[in-house]
Amino acid sequence: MNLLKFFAKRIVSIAISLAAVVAITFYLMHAAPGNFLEMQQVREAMAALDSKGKEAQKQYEVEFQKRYALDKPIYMQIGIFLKNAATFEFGPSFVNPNVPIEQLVREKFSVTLQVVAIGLILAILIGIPLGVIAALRKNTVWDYSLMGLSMIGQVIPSFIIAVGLIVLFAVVLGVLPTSGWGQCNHYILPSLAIGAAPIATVARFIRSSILETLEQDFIRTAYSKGLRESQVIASHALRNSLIPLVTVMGPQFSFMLLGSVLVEQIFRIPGLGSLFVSAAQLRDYPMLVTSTLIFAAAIMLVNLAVDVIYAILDPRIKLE
Amino acid sequence: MSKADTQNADVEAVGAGPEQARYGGSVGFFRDIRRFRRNKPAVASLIYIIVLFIVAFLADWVAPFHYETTSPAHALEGSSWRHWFGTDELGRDLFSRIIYSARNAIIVSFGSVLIGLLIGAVIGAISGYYGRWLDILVMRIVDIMFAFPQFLLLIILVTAMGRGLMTMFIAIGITSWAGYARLVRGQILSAKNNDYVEAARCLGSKDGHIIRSYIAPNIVGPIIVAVSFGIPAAMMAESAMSLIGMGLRPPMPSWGNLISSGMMQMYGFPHLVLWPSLTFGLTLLAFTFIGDGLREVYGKE
Amino acid sequence: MERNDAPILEVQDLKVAFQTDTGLLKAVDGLDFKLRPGEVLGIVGESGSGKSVSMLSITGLIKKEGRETGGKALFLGRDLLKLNADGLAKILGKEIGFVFQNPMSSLNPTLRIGPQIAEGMLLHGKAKRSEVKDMVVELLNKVGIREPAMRYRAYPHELSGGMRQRVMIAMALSCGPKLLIADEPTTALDVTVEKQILELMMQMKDDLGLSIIMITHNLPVALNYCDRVLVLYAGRMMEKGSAYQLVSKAGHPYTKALFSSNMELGRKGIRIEPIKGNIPPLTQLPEGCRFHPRCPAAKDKCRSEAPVLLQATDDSHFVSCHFPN
Repeated sequence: MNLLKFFAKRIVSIAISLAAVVAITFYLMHAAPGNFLEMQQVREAMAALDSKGKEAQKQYEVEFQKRYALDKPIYMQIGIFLKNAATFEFGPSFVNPNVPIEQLVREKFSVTLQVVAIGLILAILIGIPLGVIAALRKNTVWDYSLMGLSMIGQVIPSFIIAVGLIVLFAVVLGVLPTSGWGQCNHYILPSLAIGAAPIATVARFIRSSILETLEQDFIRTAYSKGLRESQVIASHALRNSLIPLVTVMGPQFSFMLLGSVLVEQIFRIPGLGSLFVSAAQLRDYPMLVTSTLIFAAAIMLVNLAVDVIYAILDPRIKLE
Repeated sequence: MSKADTQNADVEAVGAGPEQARYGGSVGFFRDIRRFRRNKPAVASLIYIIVLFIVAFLADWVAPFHYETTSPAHALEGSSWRHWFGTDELGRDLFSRIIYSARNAIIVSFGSVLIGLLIGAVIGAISGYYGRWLDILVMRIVDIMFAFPQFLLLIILVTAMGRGLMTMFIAIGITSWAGYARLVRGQILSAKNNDYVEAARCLGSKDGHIIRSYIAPNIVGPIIVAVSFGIPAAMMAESAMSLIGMGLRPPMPSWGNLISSGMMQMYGFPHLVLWPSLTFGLTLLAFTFIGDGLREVYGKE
Repeated sequence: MERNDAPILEVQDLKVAFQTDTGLLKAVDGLDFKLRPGEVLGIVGESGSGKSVSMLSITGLIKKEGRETGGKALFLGRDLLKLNADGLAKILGKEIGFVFQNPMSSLNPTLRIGPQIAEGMLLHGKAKRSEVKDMVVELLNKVGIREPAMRYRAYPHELSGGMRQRVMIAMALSCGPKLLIADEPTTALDVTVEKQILELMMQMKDDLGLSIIMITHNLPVALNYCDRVLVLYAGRMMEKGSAYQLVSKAGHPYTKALFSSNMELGRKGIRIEPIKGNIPPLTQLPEGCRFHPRCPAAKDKCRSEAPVLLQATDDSHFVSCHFPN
């Protein structure tokens, strides 16, 4: 099956899934008691702004509903949203009526992606060597302690690791800031917190994959050519293990992306996760739906990319 | 996996024969326990979890203080005989609050896994057993559930339903049923295609009888394993929600609440964030060891 | 003795054992042979007879923990058993080439075959990076692969079984070795392809002046293609002689049993008789002759006393049996 057809098929199924995600979100928001205008803060702000009393307030509400198409039936709202989403235009949010959502999302998502990307790079740069070491020192203290650590890294959620890192590096050692954004040293702790589990996962995967590959017949062939152990590991065992590693990175990416929602809260990072949470708290529906859509789309597209890359790297895989 | 099983199995288990080992279900209950017992970290974890359970359920009697009892005179103290883990800014006993957090976490996680499992098992069973268009439809819905980032759905659900203990476990249950549905459906499909089910059907057994006698025993193991990993996942979801202020309402304690409020006092009083983090981490680790032990017993997934 | 008659490989009293949970596993016990230039030696036996283990052990390709070796394996005068990993790595691929049983799993599935062949040539300095591709293509042509320039870029799974084994042979011969060890080279192949591969190996032997050790469980193959044949059973040599000697005057009951159990060798009027029983577990070898539990002619002496390899009909034929005929 050719790549193009596979690609087209997957894009269609991604589009359908995203539409479903949007629809579910809309319905849940619709069913939720209370709305943006009833939120305490908004009411107070409106009352302060508008001294003309109830009448003007009513009129404002009507205008508000009209502006955001809230007066239309829900399926039409969904349709309008999806139509706009196709051209990446989401209009303004409730909270920020003067700024288009896409502009905010672009800004915030790049922040989130930076943290996630650094975490991903850490996972590869730290995880792979650790996995190789554990595999080479199989069943030694090195192996056991590395695998023990990686088990902890996999099990303990990122927000606990974030807390541990903050206490150690910010409170006890005082070398890094607890929170904030804008400087180089703001990236370190969040990326580590978010990358801890992927580092551990990659290390465990590489270890077991190398050990499995070393059992294969072609490793004996490699030795029979006169290659030394390090050469066999580098050009055969590790090489063959790195290909399936691609498939591990897909789930790791989505894991990190969702983990960023929490980590951004802890480190007060102005990313898409923070945007999403505040949109939920303020019942800013357009923003909530849009950021949900962006998260879901990012995860699905990365998974698609992973499948394609894997198929390109492993000559035996045929896409279906 | 069957290879590892036979290697680990003791003499009696080998005597039972490979067929029994695979299809035995509850027949091998005592053998399963014996096998589990050989995994020392899992046994230690199980003991820890049992103690945690007992303490959590008897919290009203065991905890030295109630979670709401304030005592401004003793605010922000370190560890002492009176307050093992110290006190918070209102003088509330941290140790007691952690015990109540454990209780809430247990209620939420078990409740939500039960809900998720009930929904998932019923839907998965119907879909897998009756197949055809129903199966296709259900699997489409399951696919969409998987496409929806779980944690985001959780936040949206809580936004829609409001905060609290009850919504917490309903919401987590709703976001986790799809996994159980897929598991049960897969197990049923593989059991259905087995010759012994075919034979039973030929002999005229009713659907209900087939499900009870032939299919259910085979899916018990994988479900136990899935549940053992689902519980810590639900605990994590609950505390994560509480951490960002969308979980349990303070003053009701939750590991997430304790950590997020502890972080405000981090500079002067790191014990407020360290103790909850440590105990929560330990609990998750214990569940994982138990899950691994169970997975060893029942085979992969 | 003439100078060019000096053996390529001389194995003296080779012993290989593994420490296992169930006790000492004696895989090879007292292997002796000399391989002369241009000679093809067949090592024949059932699985578990130690035929592969012996060759993989002297070349360090079995690295299992708990391996113990004894005796000598002199390759052009150097004892392979005394070499460390680095010393062996200098010889393997360069002076000793290998062809393994299953060409599919023995080739790295994620690498194109050309670079896999080139790897050893570059390693041993047999080719410069700029010229290696042409050399590999020529080599592929030589082992009978059509359109070699195109196949250079093929992955193993894109080739047929026979072609893969040709690639393995090209790889084994890429550095111009003096010795080729072929471990069941045709077991995984169709019978029709088997002959082509064996013929190719013989042709390469003549062209390049190789010596070959052919490990096989297939007695007819050994008798057809080998100058000398060594019959192993449960790690011990049962019989050793030229192919002619084995065919015309086999002395060991095991050799005879192999003949009469073989369909291809079955002669008119003689029933095919499978050998009763199984090869014993190598951790619990029987007393006396290792073949006695399955031997139709076993006597008391066979059960108590292990026979030694003695000269039989003439000076190059040896049999390890108390009652050879």
